Amino acid sequence: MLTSLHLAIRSLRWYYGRTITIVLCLTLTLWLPISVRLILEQFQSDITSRARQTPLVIGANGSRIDLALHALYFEAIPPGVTTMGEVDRVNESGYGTAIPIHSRYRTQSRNQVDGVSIVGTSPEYFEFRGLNIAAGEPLTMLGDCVVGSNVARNMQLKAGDSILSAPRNAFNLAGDYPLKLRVTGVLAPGFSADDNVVFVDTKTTWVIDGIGHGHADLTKVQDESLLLSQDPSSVTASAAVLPFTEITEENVDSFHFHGDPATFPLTAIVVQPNDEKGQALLLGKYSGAENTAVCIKPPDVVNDLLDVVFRIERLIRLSAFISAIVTILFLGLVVFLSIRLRASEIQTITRLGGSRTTVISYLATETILQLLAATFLAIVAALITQQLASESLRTLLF
Amino acid sequence: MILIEGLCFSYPDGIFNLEIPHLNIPPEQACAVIGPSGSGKTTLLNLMAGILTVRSGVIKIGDAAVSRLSETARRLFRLNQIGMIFQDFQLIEYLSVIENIVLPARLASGKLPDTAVLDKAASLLSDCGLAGYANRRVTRLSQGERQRVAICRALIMGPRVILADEPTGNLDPHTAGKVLDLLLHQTAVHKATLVMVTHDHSLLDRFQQVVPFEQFLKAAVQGSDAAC
Repeated sequence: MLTSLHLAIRSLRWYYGRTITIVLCLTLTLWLPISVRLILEQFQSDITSRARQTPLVIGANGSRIDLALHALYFEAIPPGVTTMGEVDRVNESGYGTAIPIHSRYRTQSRNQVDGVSIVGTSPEYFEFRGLNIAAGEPLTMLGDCVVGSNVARNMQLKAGDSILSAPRNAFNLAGDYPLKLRVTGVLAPGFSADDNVVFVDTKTTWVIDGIGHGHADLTKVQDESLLLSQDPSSVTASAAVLPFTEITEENVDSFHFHGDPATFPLTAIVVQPNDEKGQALLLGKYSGAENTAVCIKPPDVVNDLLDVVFRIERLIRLSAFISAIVTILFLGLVVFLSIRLRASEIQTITRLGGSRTTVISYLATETILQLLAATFLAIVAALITQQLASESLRTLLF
Repeated sequence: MILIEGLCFSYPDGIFNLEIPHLNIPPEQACAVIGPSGSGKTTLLNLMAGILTVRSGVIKIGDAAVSRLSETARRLFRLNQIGMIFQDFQLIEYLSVIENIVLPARLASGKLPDTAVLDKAASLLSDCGLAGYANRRVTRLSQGERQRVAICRALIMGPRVILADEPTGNLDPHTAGKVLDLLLHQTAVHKATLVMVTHDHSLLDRFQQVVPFEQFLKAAVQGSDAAC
């Protein structure tokens, strides 16, 4: 055995070009399925753990997957919206606590970094996700925002800085105007989607929506041309009266909302049921066809999604299996040609008195050493790939 | 030392038949085997070494009837009792000089060579004028130096018989003479019997016995039915 090992090591070193080629071929063949498996396991672990922490989500009727991914990652925007009335309905039912999510806008790009989602929510969300302020203060006033740790790092933001919201449609002159958001705090890293967004109060998102606004007091304007009509009960202003695009301590009192708050839009509602019974009753409550909102269990939706992903993985595994067969055939050919090319060396060993077992053991040791080296390299490469690719894969999918 | 009686051999394809009714090579003698190419000289060495087996007849080396040993026994006999030298040296290029020399010892034991073997290899290298060459690659040696390494390898196990197949065939006359002198000297020092195939008739006067091979060669025939 030691003789075989000695001869094999010396031979592998001498024919290093052939050795490197074979080891690289085997490494690549092993790397693909190992990497896919590790990345998907990491991905599965990430996505299911966040889904499990989010028992129920209510949103407009439509794609369950879009709704779940929006509530979990703020990326896919559901085509429809639900209303603040549903939050009140859940809270009044006593079955659980509803946390509003309103995320239809993004910030403008900054520091050569693309804009990120602006998420309007209530203070309960931070407690629900276990998010803590690492620097600065929490949200205190309309127009305030706290930024996720990745956003703060990438956009170089800190408490006291400001960032602009991006209009959804640049040609809608009557629609949303950019709102200057004042950064009051930076969140501690949570290693989740919360690190990649800007949080504001839901009222601030409604201001961006144009539902709420602030402007000069029209009962005290000096310029009469700004008024179209005036009587003791109402004032009609001209379009020349522009709403404020920044909320300050001086103008915050002028901000007001038009309409019934129960009709104000939300893109999703995260619900924390009080118990299993509450969860079941809420699901039942929203199961009727007459409902304009739907209640979903994110873990179920994510499992459906993972089924699709793992079906793709089976295809990748099949392709890796085929490439493994090709590699084995290639390796067989290399070994066969190598034996023919080294017939003289093998003949020398035999003629000196080496047994057939010695020769086979020597050639087998060579192959095993190459396989071990390739397996080691493939595992190392797969672990590196897992580190680099798991985050990219999630970004790619959502 | 080497006794052949009624040897009969033919290859499966029946290209030629080799018949040796009687051949005796006394111990510690140097015997040259001469004959035209293809007459079966190398085949005879392979039969003596137990690499090939006879169809009939007996080959005895000392007390051992090589022709009647099992394959494993013939292999072990070859490792321990016979040193082989080839025309093309047959050194393993990825091993160093010392590793090539101790290879038979490694094949016999399956273990790392012990100090005694390494000391003997160093001594042989010194005797063959290759002191200081132990860790060199064999690919960096001249032809004459390679054949001297092959002689060291043949002697490492202290064999009773050395079978040399045209060991000077690839060497220039001057080097061939020096290598043969070394081979004869080392064979004598180690009290071994030398059987050497050669085409060089100018070297024959250095051997105690010369075996002309034409006498053993039966006319080439086709088909195994004509074989002995």
